[in-house]
Amino acid sequence: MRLTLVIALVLAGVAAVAAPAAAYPRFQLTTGASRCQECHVSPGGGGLLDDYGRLEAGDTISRGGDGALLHGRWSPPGWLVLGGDLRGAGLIKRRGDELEPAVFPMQVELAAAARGRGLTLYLAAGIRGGARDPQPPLVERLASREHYVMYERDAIYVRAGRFFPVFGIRSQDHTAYVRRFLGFGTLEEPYGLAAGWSGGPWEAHAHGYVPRPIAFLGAGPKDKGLAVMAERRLLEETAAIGLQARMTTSAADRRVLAGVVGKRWFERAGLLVLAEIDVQHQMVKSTESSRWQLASYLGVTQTLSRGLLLGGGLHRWQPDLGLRSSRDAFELDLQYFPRAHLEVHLLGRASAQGNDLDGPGFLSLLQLHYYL
Amino acid sequence: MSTALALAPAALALAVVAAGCDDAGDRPSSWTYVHTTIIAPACATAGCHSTLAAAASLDLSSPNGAYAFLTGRVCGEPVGPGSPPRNYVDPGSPEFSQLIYQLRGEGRDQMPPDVPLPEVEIRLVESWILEGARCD
Repeated sequence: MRLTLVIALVLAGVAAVAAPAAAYPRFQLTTGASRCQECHVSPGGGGLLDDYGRLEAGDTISRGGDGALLHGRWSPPGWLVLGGDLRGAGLIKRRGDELEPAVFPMQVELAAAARGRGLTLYLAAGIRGGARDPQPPLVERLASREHYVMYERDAIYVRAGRFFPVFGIRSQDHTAYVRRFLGFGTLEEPYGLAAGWSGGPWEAHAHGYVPRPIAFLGAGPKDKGLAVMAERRLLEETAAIGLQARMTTSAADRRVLAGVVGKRWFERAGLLVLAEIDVQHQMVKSTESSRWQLASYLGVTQTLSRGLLLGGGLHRWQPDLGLRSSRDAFELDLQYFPRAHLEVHLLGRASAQGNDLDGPGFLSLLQLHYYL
Repeated sequence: MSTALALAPAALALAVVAAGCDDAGDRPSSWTYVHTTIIAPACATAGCHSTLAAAASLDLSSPNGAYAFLTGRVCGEPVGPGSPPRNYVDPGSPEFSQLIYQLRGEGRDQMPPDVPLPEVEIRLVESWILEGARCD
């Protein structure tokens, strides 16, 4: 009964957090693009769109308009790719009888890439958002989440710098449990060296990374490690299955992760299913104790009409499979792209801790997004 | 067959049932374990109490730094029941420790604000405080 109430309340309009960083994985397979790099400069998606991505933004994803930079009013030279994201958000958080509203800038970021002869120099910089006061001075909020150099030849790429590994579903929602609790939160992009290959229905990526070399360069993981992922598309590119693994070590612990990612697009029904499950073994060095962890995500997206998507998702994080320490969340979201460059995202999440579904917390967020 | 393969992660995700126990008795209640398994992943995320963001001027990302912020003591400084309370933790007395009230959201802003800790993890933090909040 109470669970029903939880779902009913979510349906009634509470919303949750989504935020910047990665691509929209729900556009893979559903828009005719099977790989992130068909629309994005980055092999992992997110950030700058290429010409085809901008074309799709107007023709397929939104309800119309010109997806080109500045709505097509000015075109940069062919070797230069420019873009940027502006996001604002308002949220309401409820736990028990307490309501906590907030309105805040979520993302102000500009990005540029210079490309030629297989080389790409990529830089994204902006002001990191923050939902709670007091905010630090502006100069301390400047951050560059991604900056790298990449070389591509035929189906192979090599890149070095700061960026997320091609790993997992890579949801745009940095609070998704498979992101937040596995070290892929916002501003946690590591420095590293990566290589990848794609051919036919296959793609494979490997990424070695280290802690940030200079403290001034911002937050990031404190561990070094290696992440690998391979994905194969099936059923005339309407499905994909991926296997992934990661090994990391820090001064405090050592972790080994294995996971599976699945995607299936039911074209006739306009339904996309995304799923990820990861199992991780963590060994705490100081106490020589260890535990098993699990992170999972299951999401379904229904395309209601062009530019209008309704989604639902389940998140689960179990930091210690031996304890009743799980975090569970159920969410619904409505994503509307009225014109190219514009997005309105209403997303609601009910979350519970330690299998305690009697007292869920609710978080709501209305996000307005404009990209250059 | 291929569809089943692609949806296997979904089935696995759904198949994972609630498990575990409420008693963290066999988990170490040492500071290094508490910091590595609870404080760092839940509080020292990049946008919150990390070195970069240091929300509310709290940087909880390193064990020694977090210990100093929470207890008001330098790691290694002897503490025990009867030591004067400082900052967020009163060694030996979780009932007088502001940290516990914040983790439970009792009379203070709940922390973490988005995904509160499950009770079993809060009890492990309580055990650490009850045993003197030592820095080991």
